[in-house]
Amino acid sequence: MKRITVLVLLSMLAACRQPDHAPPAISFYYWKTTFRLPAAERAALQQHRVSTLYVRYCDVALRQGQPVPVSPIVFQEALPRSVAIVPVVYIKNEVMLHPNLDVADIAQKLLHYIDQINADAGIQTGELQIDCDWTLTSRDTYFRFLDQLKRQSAKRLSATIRLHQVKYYATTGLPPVDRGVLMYYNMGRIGPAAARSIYDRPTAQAYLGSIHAYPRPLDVALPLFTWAIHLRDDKVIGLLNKTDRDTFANDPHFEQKTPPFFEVKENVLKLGKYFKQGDRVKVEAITADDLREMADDLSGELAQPPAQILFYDLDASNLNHYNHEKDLLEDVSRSF
Amino acid sequence: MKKISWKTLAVLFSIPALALIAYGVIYACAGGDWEGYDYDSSFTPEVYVDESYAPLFYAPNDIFYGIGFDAEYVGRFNDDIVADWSTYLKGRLSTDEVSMLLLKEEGVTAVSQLYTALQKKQQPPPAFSRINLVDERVKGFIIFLNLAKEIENASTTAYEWWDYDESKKQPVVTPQTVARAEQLYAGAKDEFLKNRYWFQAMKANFYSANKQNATAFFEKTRNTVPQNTLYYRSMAYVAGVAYQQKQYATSNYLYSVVFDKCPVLRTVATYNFHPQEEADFQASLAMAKNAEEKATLWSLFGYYADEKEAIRQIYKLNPKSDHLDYLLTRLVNKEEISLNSEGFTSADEYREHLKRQVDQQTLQLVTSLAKEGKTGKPYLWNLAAGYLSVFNGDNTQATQYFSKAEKEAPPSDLATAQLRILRLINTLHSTNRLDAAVETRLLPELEWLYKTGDQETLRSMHVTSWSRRYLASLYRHQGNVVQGELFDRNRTYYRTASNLEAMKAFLQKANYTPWEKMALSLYDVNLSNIYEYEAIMAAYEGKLENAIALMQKSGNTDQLPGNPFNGKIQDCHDCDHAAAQKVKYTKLSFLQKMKEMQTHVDKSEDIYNNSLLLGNAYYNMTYFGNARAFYYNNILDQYGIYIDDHYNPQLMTCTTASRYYKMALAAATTDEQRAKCVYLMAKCERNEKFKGDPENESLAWEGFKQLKTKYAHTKYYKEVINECSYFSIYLNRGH
Repeated sequence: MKRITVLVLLSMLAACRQPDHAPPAISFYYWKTTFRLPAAERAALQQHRVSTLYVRYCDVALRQGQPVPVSPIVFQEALPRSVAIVPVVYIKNEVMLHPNLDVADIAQKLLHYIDQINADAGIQTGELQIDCDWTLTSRDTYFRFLDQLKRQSAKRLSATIRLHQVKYYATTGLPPVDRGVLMYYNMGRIGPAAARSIYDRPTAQAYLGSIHAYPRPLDVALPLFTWAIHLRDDKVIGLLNKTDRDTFANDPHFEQKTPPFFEVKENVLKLGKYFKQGDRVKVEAITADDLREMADDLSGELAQPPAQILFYDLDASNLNHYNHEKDLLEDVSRSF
Repeated sequence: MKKISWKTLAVLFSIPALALIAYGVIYACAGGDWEGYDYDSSFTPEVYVDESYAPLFYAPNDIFYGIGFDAEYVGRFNDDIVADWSTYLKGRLSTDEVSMLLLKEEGVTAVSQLYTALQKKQQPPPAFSRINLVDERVKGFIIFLNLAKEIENASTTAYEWWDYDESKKQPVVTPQTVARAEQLYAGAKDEFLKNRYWFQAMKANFYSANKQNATAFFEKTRNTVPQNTLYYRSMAYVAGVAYQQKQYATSNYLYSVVFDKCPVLRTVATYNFHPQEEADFQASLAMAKNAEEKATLWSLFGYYADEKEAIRQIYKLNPKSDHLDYLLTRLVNKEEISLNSEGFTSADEYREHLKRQVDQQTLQLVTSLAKEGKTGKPYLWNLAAGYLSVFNGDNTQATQYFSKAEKEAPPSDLATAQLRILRLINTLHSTNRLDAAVETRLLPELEWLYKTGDQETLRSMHVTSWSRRYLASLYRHQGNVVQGELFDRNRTYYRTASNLEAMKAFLQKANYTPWEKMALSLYDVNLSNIYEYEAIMAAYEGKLENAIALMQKSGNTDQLPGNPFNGKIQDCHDCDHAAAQKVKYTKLSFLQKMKEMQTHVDKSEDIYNNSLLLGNAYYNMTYFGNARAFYYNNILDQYGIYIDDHYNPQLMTCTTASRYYKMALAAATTDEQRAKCVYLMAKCERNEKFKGDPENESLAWEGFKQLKTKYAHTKYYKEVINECSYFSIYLNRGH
C-alpha cells in the first residue's frame, strides 16, 4: 500500500511541473546611449511580441564627490507604438555610500531629469526601475532613497536584485519597491580562471536553494550577451564588450588551443587595444542550452512564476547568436 | 553643481583603453593615503629626461604622471595669450588690463561696453576711461575680443549636471559668426592680428554645427600661417574631427605631429591618440613625411602598447630621437617595479630569483643600445643599463656602466643623488656577508641615504626600506639576530627569550661603533620598552614581585585611565575612564596594590574582598577590561580590536580572573556577595564563549544558572536584571 501511495505522490509531483498559467511576457533591456532601432532589433520586438522595453536612461555616479547623472541617453528614433518604455537608472553603490546623502533631493533631481528626457523624446512612462548593487553599509540609505522616489512620483517602482541579495535578504534587506527583478547573470568573478563570470552553474547553485524563501515576487533577467576578457600574466587588463569567438577565431594573430582561451601568437593592434604575444583572451558566451538550463533551474525554485523575463540586452549582435533557434526565447519563457 | 564643459572632448576625443582601465582610480593629492611613486621604485625618471615628457612617465595608478587627469582644457594657454597680447599692446595697455579683458568675468562686460563705445564713436564708459580707444592696436584688440568672446560662448560652457536640457542643447557658433571670423581674418593687415583671427576662424568652425568645415579651412590656409602654438592647436582640432569621422589613420597621424611639435599639448595628443587596428596604424606611418614623424608615431605607440618595440623602431629611424628617453624610463620603471615586489629571506635566493625574473629582452635592448653609444643621451642609457645589470647579477658590468654615466652626464644634484643610490644598490647586491670591513665601507653611503629621507622628486624611499631588509637578511643568515632586528623589526622577535636577552645586552653596552650607532638610530624600541614588556608578561603569569621589579626598572609612569579594580555589571570602559577617581593608578602602582592584596590573601586576611578585587584587576588587564592601557607597549603592539593569536592566553581569556572570583565565592559570607561572584564568573564565561549573537547562541552560562537558581532573592539579582539584558533574555528562555 505504501508503495502505491508513493507512486501516486510522485506522479502528482510530476504533473505539478507543467505550468498551467500563461508564460511570462518577454521583455528586453536596452543599454546604449543613443536610442536607435535598426531593422533587426525592430523585428525582434515584433517577433517576440514585446510590450515593454527597459531602457537605461542614465547612470548616477560620483563626480568630484557629488552624485550626478552620467552618459544620459539621447533618443534619435521613436519606439513602435505598441511598446512601452520603462526607464532604468543604474546607480553606483558609491553614491549610496556617500555620507550625508540627501536622498530626497537626489530623488527629486532624478525624477525631474527623467521627465526632461521624456519631454525631449515625446515619451510617457508610468514605471521606473532602479539598478543598484547595494551593500550592507549602503542599504539603509538606498532604501530611503527608493522610499523617496515612491513618495515623490506616482509611478510603479521596481529594482534589480542580485543573487546574494536574495540569499542573504535577512541582512541585505528587502527593497521597498513594487517589483523585484532577479538578475541571473554576472554571478562569477571576472578573472583568469576558466569558469565564466557571466554564468556559472556551480556558482548559481550555491544560491538556487534560497530563492524559494524570498518573500517577494520576482521577475527574472537573463543574459544574451557575450564578452571577452583580456589577460596578461594571469591578470585582467581589459574587458571587450560585444566580442565573441568569431572576433578572434578568424584572426591569425590568435590561436585557440584550450577553449575558452585564445592565445595571442603575435603582437597586434585590434579593437583599439594592443594584444601582446603571450596574452590570453577568454571568450564568454551564453548558449541556447545555457538559457534553457537557467530557466529550468530557476523555474523549479521560484516561489511564484515570474510575470516577465527580461533579456539583457536588445542588440542585433546578441540576437544573431541564436538565429538557428527560432523559438528559443519563447521556450525559455514557457519553462516558467 | 556647475560643470565646466569639455564638450569638445566628450564628443570627439577618444578615451584610450589604458585610460579606461585606470579610470576608476582618482589621483590622490599629496597628503593623502598615496604612498608615492617611490614606494617600489628607485629609478627617478626626472633625472635626465626633459620635463615636457613628465606627464608621460610611468604612473600605473594615474592617467598622467604627477597631474592625474588633465584638467587644463580651459586654462592651458592663459599665460601664453596674456603674454602674447601684452607684448603686442606694450605701452598701450598694462598686463593686468590685458589679463582682465582676456580672462576675467568682468572682461566680458568690459569688452561689450568698449565695443559699443567704439561702434558709436563714443567715449569709453567711466570704469574703463583709462583705455585709449583711439589707438589703432587697442581698437583692433577690442574688435578682436568682441568676436572672441562670442566664440567662447560655445567653446567654454558651463551647465548644471542635473539639467538634461542644458547638457544636451549646448550653444554652437552660428554660421554668421563663422563668416565674420573668416572675413576679419581675410581683411586683417597687421600680421599679429591676422594670425589671431586665423585661429579664431579655426575655432569658430570647430565649435559650429559643422565641424568638418574646420578641416576644410585648415587645408585651405595652413601654408600661409606661421607654425606656432596656434597652428598646432588648430591641427589638434582637425585631428579631433578626423577621429569623429572615424578616419583613425589621419587623426592619429595629426596628433603625433602635435605631440612632436607642441610639447605643451603633449598630454592632449597622447590622450587622444588611439589606433584601432594594425591597418590604420600602418596607414598613419605611411603618412609620415620623414623619419622624425615616423619616430613620433612609434613613440606614442610605445606609450600605449609596447615600449620595447617602439624603442627598437625609433632607434632605427633616428638614434638621437628625444622620444627614446622617456620610453626608456617607462621601460625601466616597469621592470624594476615588478622586480622590487619580490620579498626575500635569504639574500642568495633573492638574487637568484631576481635573475630568473629579469626580462632578458629588456636587458639586452638597453645594454646593447647603451654600448653602441649612439643615442642623444648616452649617460641615461648607461645609467639604465647599469641598473638593470644589477638585477641580473652583473655587478661588475653595472659598476662600469655607472662610471661611464658619471663621466658623461651633465651635473645636477638630482643626478648625483640618483647615481649614488644606484651604486649603493649595486654594492649591496654584491655583498654576501657583513663584517667590520664591509660595514665601514657601507657606512657613509647608508648614513647619507637615511639622512636624505623622503624627497619630492628623488626616489629614495624604496631603497631606504629595501636596504634595511637586505642587510637584516644577511645578518640573520649569519646568526646575528640583534643586528637583524635593528635594521628590520620583526614583530615576533621578542617572543624568543634568547632574542630578548641579546637585545637587552646590546642596549646596555657602554660603547657603540659608528655602524652600531647608525643602526640604533633606525630602531624604535629601547631598554625601557623591553623591561616594561617583561613586566607586563610577568603580571599575566601572576608573578607580581617580578613584574614590579621589572616595571620599576623600565621607569614607565603611564597612567591607567580608569579604576582597574572596578567590577561592574556592565563593561563600559569609557564610563569607567570618565568617572572621577580619587586614586589614579600607574602601571607600577597598580601592580604594587595587587601585590598588597595578594599578600593579604596569602595570609588569609579578608580573602573575600582581596580576591574579589584581584579578580577584577586580572579581568581589567584583559582585552575585556577597562585597563587595556596596561598592555599597551610597542613590543606587544596590540592596540586595536584584533588581538594577535599569540597573546590570546593573556588578553583574550579570563582564567585568572575567574580563579580569583571562585576564591572570593568560597570566602563569601552573604548571598549578596555570592550573587556578585557568580555573576562576575558569568562575565568571564561570556568573554570566552559568546560570539555576539544573543538570538542564536546559548546564554546558559554557569554563573547565570547559579544566579537564577540560588540568588534570585538578592538585591544584586535585581540589579543584574536591570543592567544585563543577556540575563533577562536567558531568564525569558526559561531553561
